[in-house]
This record gives sequence, structure tokens and C-alpha cells, in this order.
Amino acid sequence: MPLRILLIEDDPDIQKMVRLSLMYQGGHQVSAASGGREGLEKAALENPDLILLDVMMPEMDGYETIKALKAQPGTRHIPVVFLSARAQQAEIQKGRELGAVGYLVKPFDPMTLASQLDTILSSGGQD
Amino acid sequence: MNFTKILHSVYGNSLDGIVISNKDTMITDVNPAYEELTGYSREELVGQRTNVVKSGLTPRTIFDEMWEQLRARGKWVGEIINRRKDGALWYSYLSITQIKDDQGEVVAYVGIARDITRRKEMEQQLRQNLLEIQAAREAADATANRLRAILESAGEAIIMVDNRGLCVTANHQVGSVLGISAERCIGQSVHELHSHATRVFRGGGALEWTPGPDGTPPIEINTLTVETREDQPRVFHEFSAPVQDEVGRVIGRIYVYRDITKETEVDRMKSEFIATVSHELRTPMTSIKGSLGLVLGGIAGTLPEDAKELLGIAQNNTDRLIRLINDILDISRIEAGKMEIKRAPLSVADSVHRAIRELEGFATQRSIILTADLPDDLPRAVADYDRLQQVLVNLLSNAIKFSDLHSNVLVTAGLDEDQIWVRVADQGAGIPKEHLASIFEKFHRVDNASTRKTGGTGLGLAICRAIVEEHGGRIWVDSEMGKGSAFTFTLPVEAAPPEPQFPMAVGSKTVLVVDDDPDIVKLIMLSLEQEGFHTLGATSGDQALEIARTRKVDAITLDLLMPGMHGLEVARRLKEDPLTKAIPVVVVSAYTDGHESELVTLGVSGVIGKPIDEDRLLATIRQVLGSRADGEADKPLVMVVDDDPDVRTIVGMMLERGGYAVRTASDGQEAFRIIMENRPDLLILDLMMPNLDGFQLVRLLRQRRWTQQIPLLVLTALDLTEGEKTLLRLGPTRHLTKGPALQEEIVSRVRDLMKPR
Repeated sequence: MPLRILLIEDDPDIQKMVRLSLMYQGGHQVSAASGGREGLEKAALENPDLILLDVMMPEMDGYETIKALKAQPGTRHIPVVFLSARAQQAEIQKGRELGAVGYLVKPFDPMTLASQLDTILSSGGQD
Repeated sequence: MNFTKILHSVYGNSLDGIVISNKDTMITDVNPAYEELTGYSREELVGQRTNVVKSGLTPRTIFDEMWEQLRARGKWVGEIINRRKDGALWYSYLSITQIKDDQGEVVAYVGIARDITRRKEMEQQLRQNLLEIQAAREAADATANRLRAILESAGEAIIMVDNRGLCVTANHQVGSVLGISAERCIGQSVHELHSHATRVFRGGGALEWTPGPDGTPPIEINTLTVETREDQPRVFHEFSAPVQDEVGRVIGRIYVYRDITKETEVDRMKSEFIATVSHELRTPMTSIKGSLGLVLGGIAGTLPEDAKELLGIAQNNTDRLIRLINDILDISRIEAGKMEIKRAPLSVADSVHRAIRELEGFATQRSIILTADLPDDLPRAVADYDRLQQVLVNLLSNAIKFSDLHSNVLVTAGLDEDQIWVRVADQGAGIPKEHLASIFEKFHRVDNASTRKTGGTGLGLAICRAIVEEHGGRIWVDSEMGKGSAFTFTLPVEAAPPEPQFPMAVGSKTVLVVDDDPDIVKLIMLSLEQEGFHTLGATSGDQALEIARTRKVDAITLDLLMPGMHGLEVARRLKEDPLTKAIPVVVVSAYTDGHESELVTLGVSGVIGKPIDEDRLLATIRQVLGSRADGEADKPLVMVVDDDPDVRTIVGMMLERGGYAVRTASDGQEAFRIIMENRPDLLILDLMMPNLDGFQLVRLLRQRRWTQQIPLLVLTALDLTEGEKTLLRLGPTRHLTKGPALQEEIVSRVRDLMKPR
């Protein structure tokens, strides 16, 4: 089922990659924000079905962004999946504690990204 | 009163010497004491000058002064050095008085002399002592100053407290670490300092002083890392240890604080660097992999063949680069000491099977058959699940890569004392001898030309080695050119729960249970253990023979119908081998028909049918094992544990008269050791004992299957609570309160407990 996905990621190339991949492999609609602040606004405005969130961003990083998303009543309910190059246990754990339902590691395989998201969402956030 | 007579007596009996001379200092008379003092007789002295006794050592000035005084005042008192007749020197405390006639003319001198040599010597000695003391004090001061200087110039803050916990030394650095000046520290109790430290440092723990039992000062050496609560926190390493004098007595405790803020910072930077690099490298890789993947996936439509091929090359190399980045990061994390291992007991067999499943596809591509041959009873290993997978996948992947097409890769495993070993063997080209040692080095390549095809990173084995060694194991390779290679690594076995260091049973019987069905083996082993036997298990004839030959086995239960080697063949081999032929064998099998005669001929000791009648099995084993080593056949053995020697003697006697064999112990520790060597049939236990008390002994015995069921008679002086009674239970248990009729009661209770169940 095609979803409306909000990608919060500062690298424009990766934005393009994710959008193309998810469109091609699932027909999902992807809108993008280049930073945490923009992401918060867009999330409140568009009410996406899922937020893909990068960790390393200037100004407001992924952890601060998810905290803010969960604090805002309009965006609290939206499932958040981290997409990050940082993949150590401590970081994955932190993401989970902050309320993320999943954690995907870069570089990702563009041909399986969509199905990985499917798996995360359908398993109710247990990966 | 005749005054003259008295004076005469005084003169004659005076202890001091008196010498009288005329005005020209010629001696006219001396008293007996003077004779003694000088060594001269009266006759020798009279007529001589008074200076006959001179030594020549008295300074001239004294005499000058003497005469001056005499002229001026008519008397003089002083000290001079005289010489006796025998040449010995003596100090004289001398008073000289001028006697004048009525006209004022000097007519005589009277000298009174006292020997003060002794006193002079003592004075001299005292002066000497004082000088020495002075010197010693100065030396001590110098040492103390030097030590103080050392203390003060150390970079660390140092505090010492005495055995009462009072601070006796603190150097000035304490001020900058704890915020209290050294002077104020001294005299404070360590507990006050501790509570001050909790305000300065995050978390508790600094300056802890926990006295041992009996209030003795703490003697462990401890280290601790603490962080201050400042805005820019500083990190300190606290080292605390007992201070001992030259004979080893503890005279206090020392606490040393070293500033490790910088080192901690460096460590933090290293971790940061590793994590940052990982991100920096992976980010562009994401775009590259993404683009290639999408295009190759068809997003831009069907690709011309050339484009597909070229892009495919790009994709492969991208993946290779990603793997390389991951490996580099892995190894730099490992080398920075940051490899996090989560150790847990796991099944090696499961891990091997999972790794094989993961590589099945790859193996099939090259038509390679992956097989695992693992023993069923392999104990669990203690390892990090993911890391073990990493090692297995790496080794298997290598094996597949370097094998010839259509060959086999075999994984085997086993137990070697306290290590589990796993071996991955291939039938590939082999590794040249020169490379065997360095193959685990980073980026080592055996042959650049051929391995470039295989796409490895050159770090796989280095990472495997780091992982294995971090677990406390070893990894090595055996290889023969043209035949193949085998990589073996070891992992620690899951340890039994920690036990006190008591010697393991030596004299108890061990039964080897042989059956190809592992469930049956377990069942029989359990049954036997509850009876007090040690057991070993084997699921094949080969295993059974191996064990029987190499371990101490007192009896064997043997299934007949087994794949591989038939039980009969096993029995034959056991009876042929001098090492094993004396071991009684009890056949436990569903079918024996046709083989009975041969079994008898072989000398098998008993046959039990399946389904197994437990009682029959146990009875047969017992019968087969016969009497105890100490020759007291058939007498049940009672162990009496009581620290009262009278109780041991009397109870022992009564039991022996009752037909029981008795062993005694005076405390729990001794009892435990004896029980481990020789399991008694009943245990009589006093609760209050030194070393290991009754409760602790029962707890230890409950932990072991083969002592859990020993019938128990507990002797107590006090009534036990219900809770306590529950703890004090092994097999059938009775409690007996010590009282006057104790001894008689004991024997009847023992009979009760020993009755067959």
C-alpha cells in the first residue's frame, strides 16, 4: 500500500536516492526536508504515514528532531525510522529509547528499502 | 664533749681525702682517705710537695686561678686531674683553704679532695649521647623533609588514614582535588572526608573505608574512576590500598588521586573519530550504491548489455568498498580496545548451522557441499552471538571461495578440556607453508593474482583472530598444498556455577551410559546420579570405547542396537582391550534374543530389558559394583558431623554396635571433603559448627545431583523455624533436638531413615 513518507535528510543526493527508490519499489510518495526544523514544520503540515530520519544533520540532529516530533501533539503519533550511517549498538539503543520504531543502516540497498520499511511497520516496530 | 677527739675522728674517718701542707706546700699530713685516693701511703706523701699527685693534664689556668683565689680570698674550690701512684688518672673535686696564724701569716694549707672521676665519665657520656641524638634527629628530619618534599612534589593527591580511619597525612594537591586544604584534612575522620567527596564527585564510592569483620581496617586494593561535578568536569583515578610497615603489619590506608581528564578526553576523541569516519565514508557510498542499484534495478528502463556489464562492475566494487570500510572500522575499533563483546552461553551447533544456511546460496553457486558434523553433547560455549557468526561466516566464505568447484567443506567441533574447538576444512589448493604464520595479519594476501578475483578485503582473518582472542581463544590453520586447509578456533566452555575449591570426588563410582538415543542416555544418567554415581554419556560405540579407555569408568551400561558399531561389537572390544576388560558391563537393550549366549561368554555382568525398570537397573549396578573400596561390604555408611568430640565418639559407637559403618568429621568443611570422596548412605549433622556450618553444608550438598538425596538427620540444640527446616533437607530428613536421651534416639531414627523406600 503506497505511503506518504517524509524524509528528513540533509544530503541532497541521498534525498534523490531515497525518493527514487521508494517510488520505484512501492509507489510511495516521498517529500523531503533538509533539516530538523524544516522537518518538524513539514511533519505538522503534511501528517505523513512515516518519517525517515537521518541522524547526522547540522544545527538540529536526528535525536533532537525525534524528541521534538514526539513532543508535538500533531506529530507524536507518526512512526519514525532512523536512517543512519552510525550503526553502533549504543546509537541503535538510543534511537529506540527515543521512540523510533526502526533503525536502518546506510548504505542501504535501494532495491530492498521499501520492503525493509514494510517489515518494520508490519512487525509493529520490532526489528 | 671532747671536740678534739671528734675532730680527730672526722679527720681519720672522712670519706673525702684530706691533705695538710705547710706554707710551702710541703705535705705534713694526710688522712687515710687521701692515701686511698692517691695510692700513696702516708709515709710516701709526707715531706713531698702537694703536686706529687699532679697529672700534668690540668690546664695551667686552673692553677693560676687557684693561687689568685687563695691570695684573694683564702680559699678555692675547683676540679683538677690527678695521677695515682699506679699512673691512673682521676678527677679530683678539690677545696683548698689557707690557714693563717694570728698575725695573718699563712701557716698551712688544707686540701679536701673527692674523686669525681665517675661523675665526669657520666657527664662525658651524656654529652656524647646528646650529640648523637642531635645528629640522629637531624638525619631523621632530613629524611622526613625529603619524604615530605616527595609527597608534595607528586602530581597526585595523596591521603593516608590510620587504622582508626583518621587522616594522618595529606599533601597539598588534596586541596585542588577535594577542595579541602591538606591542613584541614589532617585529623578528620575518613567518613567525613567521604561525605565531602560525594559532594565533589558524581556518584558515591570515593574515599570509602569499610572495616572488615571485627572492625579491622580494610585491606583490599581498589581502583575507581570518578568525575567532578564542575562545569568542566575533571576525571580522576582513585587508587586505594593498605599501608604496611616493614614487617607487614597494616598501619593505615592510602588514597591516591591521579588526574586522567586528558587521557579520558583522548579516549573519547578516538571513539568520536571512529564513529565520525564511519559516517563520513558511508554517506557518499550511499548515493553511489543507491544510484547503481536503481539503474541496474530498471528504473531507467532496460539497459544495453554493455551498460549492464559496466554498471555491474561498478556495483560489485562499491559493495567491496563498503565491506572494506566496515572491516577497517571493525579492526580499528578492535585495536582501540573498543570491541564490545556481549558474552553469553550459546549453542555452537546452532551458530554453525545458521552460518551454513547463510552461505548455502554462495556454496551452491560453486557447487560446493557444506556439511556439519558436530557431537550431540557438545556443551555450550560462552561467546558473543554476532561475533561468533562473523567468524563462522568469514571462515566458511573463505573455504567456499578457495575451494575447487564440486568439492566439500566440512565443519567439525569438539571439546578439549575447558575449550570448545571448531574446525572449518576445505579441499582447496592449500596454503604454502611460508604463509601459514602471517595469514592472520592485516591485508595479507597469499597470491595477489588469484585472490584479487575473490574480492576479499584482506582483513577477514585478522578480524577473526581479534575476535577469537578477545574471547580468550586461539585460532590457527593447518594446510597442505594440493589437499586443502583447515582453520580451527577455540572458545571457552560454559563454566559450571562457581564452587568452593574442594577436591572432586576420587573414590566414587563412575558409570558410562551408552545408547545411541541421547534422551535415553540423559534419563539413565539422571537416575544414576540421584543414586550418588558419577556418570558419563556416549552415543556411539566409538565414543564409548574412547571414553572407557581414557577416563576412569567403574561400570558401563550398554545398548545393543546402535547404528555404526553394534553393542555386541562394543562389548567384544571392551573385553579384548586390557585397559577396559575389567569394567563390568550391563547391557540395557530392547532386544537381546539370539545374543544371550555370546553375552554370557563375553562376561557381561547383567542384562536389563527396555522399557527400563529403574529399580532393577539401580539394583543391578549396585550389585555389579559390589562392595565399597574399604572392604566394609554391605554395611551402610553413616557420616556423623559434630564439633563435639564426645557426641562423635558416643554416637559412633552406638551406630557401630547397630551394625553400621561410621565416618566422622568435626566441621562442615572436613565433612564436605569426605562426603565428596565417599558418599555416605546417611548423614547425621550438627548445625552449629565452625568453618562451614550445617546450613551451608546442606546447601552445597543440595546443589549436586548425586548428594541431593542423602537421608539426613539434623541435630539441633534450638528449635528450628519452619523456614529453616525447609532449607535443611536432602533426601528423607528428620530433625532431632539435642537432649538427654539423644544417643538412643539417634540410632532408632537412623534405622527409620535407612528403611528401603
